[in-house]
Amino acid sequence: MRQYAIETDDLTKKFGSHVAVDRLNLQVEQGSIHSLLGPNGAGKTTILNMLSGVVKPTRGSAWILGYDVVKRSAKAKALIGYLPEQPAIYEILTVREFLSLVGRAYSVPKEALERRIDKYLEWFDLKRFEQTFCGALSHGLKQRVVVCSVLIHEPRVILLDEPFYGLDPASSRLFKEFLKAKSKEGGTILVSTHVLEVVERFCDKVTILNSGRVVASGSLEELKTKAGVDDDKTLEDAFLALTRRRKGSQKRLP
Amino acid sequence: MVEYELRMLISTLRLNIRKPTYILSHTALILTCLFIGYCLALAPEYFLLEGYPQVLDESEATALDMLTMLLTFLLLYTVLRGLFDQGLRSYVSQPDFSILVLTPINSRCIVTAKCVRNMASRLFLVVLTFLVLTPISLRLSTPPFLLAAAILSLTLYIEFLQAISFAIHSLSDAFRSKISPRTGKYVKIIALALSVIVSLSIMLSEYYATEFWTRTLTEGAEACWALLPSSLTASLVLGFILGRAEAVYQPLLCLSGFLIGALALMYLFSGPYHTEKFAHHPFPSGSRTPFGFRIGKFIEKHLNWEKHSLIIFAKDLQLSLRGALIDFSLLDFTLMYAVPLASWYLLESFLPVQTVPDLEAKLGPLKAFVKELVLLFALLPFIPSLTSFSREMSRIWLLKAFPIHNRAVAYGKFLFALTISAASLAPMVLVAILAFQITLSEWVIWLILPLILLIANSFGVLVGAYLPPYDLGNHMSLKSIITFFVLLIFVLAPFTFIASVQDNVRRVILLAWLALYSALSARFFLRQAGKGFEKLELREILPHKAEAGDSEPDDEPEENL
Repeated sequence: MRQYAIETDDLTKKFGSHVAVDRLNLQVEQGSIHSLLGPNGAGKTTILNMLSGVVKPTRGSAWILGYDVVKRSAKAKALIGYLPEQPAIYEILTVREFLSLVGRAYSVPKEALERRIDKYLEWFDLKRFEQTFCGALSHGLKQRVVVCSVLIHEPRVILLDEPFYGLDPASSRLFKEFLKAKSKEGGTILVSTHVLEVVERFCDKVTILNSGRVVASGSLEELKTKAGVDDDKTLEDAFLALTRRRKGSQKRLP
Repeated sequence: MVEYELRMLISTLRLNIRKPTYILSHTALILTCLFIGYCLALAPEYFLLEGYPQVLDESEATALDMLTMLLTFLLLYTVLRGLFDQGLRSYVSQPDFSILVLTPINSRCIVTAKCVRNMASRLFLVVLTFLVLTPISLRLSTPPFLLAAAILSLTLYIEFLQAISFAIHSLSDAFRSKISPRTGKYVKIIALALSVIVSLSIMLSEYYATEFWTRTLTEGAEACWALLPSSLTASLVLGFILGRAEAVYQPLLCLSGFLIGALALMYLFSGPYHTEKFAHHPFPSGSRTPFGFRIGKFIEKHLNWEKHSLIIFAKDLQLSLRGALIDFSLLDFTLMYAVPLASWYLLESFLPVQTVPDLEAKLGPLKAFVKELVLLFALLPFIPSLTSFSREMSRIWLLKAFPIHNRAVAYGKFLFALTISAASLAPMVLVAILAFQITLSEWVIWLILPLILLIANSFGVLVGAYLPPYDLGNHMSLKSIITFFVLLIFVLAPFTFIASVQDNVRRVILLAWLALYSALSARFFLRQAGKGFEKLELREILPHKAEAGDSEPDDEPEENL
């Protein structure tokens, strides 16, 4: 039995000759909110894609609550709720139909599914759009629909890629509160974001990536110590200090 | 702009030529064309060579009309569905389109340049035509200038089809820009109703012939028929086969005139184009097509299956039916079958073919050939299965994230493709029954068709999983051609044995064997398709878009001919 909710062992992904993720060893504890942080091209999305089963690893293994994401992918996927960075949905399904499709794909019993659809539509203020085609919704509303679809089967592990992009402040706060409550109940959340303030206020642990490799991992205090910055400095300072070491001198405005 | 497009075409060709697979597949294609030409020359009963000249002694109308009819079908298909779509897609789906619409280049330049590019790329067909016709020319010892005239006429005809598709789009969009969407909808409905009325009238006139109908349709049809570009091309190709040198220049001039006319129409009406037209969305904000909406609700309510493959099937069915109703492609689809059907009746009822004595006997060889063609018709509807996965586009992440076994996804896609292909084959079979008097006694055909659908669709799903993105808009793409030939030569080859067996007992044994072969092959293809889907990645489906990943390898150039 594996100790962590999310665990990877030398997880590697290559696209042609380009190594997007290089021998990643990641452990995320159950009931925690863990953040992946890194500059563009660091491999964050690819990691989430591999964990969710959307992309197959080139080498190495990953486990979700003890289930290998490649060998026992259906079991692992059933435990995951995945929100990609650019979620495309079926535009000529209505909001309710789309949520119903996702729920049935995750084998949610019919009565429970109807109940949950109503609950999440209410929560995210989508009730009045339930019979509207998804394609006719604005970007923010679509994002809310996808958030509902991620939660519809009540996953134990939630993978989020830039989850708050496009959400209005009220929905964003609601979603954050939901995620915090979920983690207190034992749910595990792995989130990739560029918004450092969100990480500081929202996450328990952070893994900083650069060019597909882990630069540092730990709590905020541990990262500041590793980066050699003072306690009164922000995560941004620690992040820049850690990523700068690998990239050489920081570029300055002319 | 035209120069830029042609340079892009040449650059694509240069990049492709460096690929060994491209060279290999094109060599195979060229050899196949030579082989077809050689076979046609050796087996003339399939090409109006020996079967028809003695018929032509009595009336040349039969052979000429048959060839014209085939080419007219191509014209009808082009206008109604095929290049109609291709014309639009060829400039909207280009990777540079989103950049072009932001530049100050006017729409006329864009449309003209894309049309010229398409016409230039179609010149490859001329090479293929040359390879098919040359062995026939050598066998028949026809004068070289007749071969040149036949090739030139086919070239002009192909280019005319390309140009007319652009012209129709320019014309219809120019017209649409002047009217409201609601009026446009009514115009489409009226057009559909008129087509149905005309088709029904033609059919009914067979049984309730009146002087008015006979005079109007016979005289009108004869006059139109002779002037069609397809008739002109057919007359030149037949002239080449029969070695007749007279009346070569006039049809060629007429065909050139048609091509120039189509280009002029395209140029004239491409002016009012607006970028808004290119970014047309299938449904406006908040709209609900009541009927389409209800169909979706019906499927949601009654096809509420729990089995994973059936969930995928119901989802595809729901989206397709609703999508077809929303974007009026159902109308195109209906017209595509209704018009050829009406044309058959026109030909059989009013054209001079009827005046040929012993028509049935003389049509014998052609009918035998077309009956075999019915099997080929079965190949056409397998096309939806090719796009099983490509149709998902950027939504593929959702399917991949679902806790559904890969094989169940492949089975779901297969079930959907089988349903759609069976439904779309029905009108073709109806045409075949009516036009060629295929009876139920020819039971082998009716038993083979489902087996072909089974094997062709499973093969289509397999190809769709391994060779995305599959663009059905580009019929001349390398993938389409290779898929077609592999299916025809390797997968469906065992079905040809049935033609050589006359004894009913042996036929039954062979059919049982074919059924087993089809079932096992379909199972194998679908298992492999499941594995292909497992390996499938978003970047493969959308090669021109950045994946939702952090890194992006260089895109491969398009493999267009």
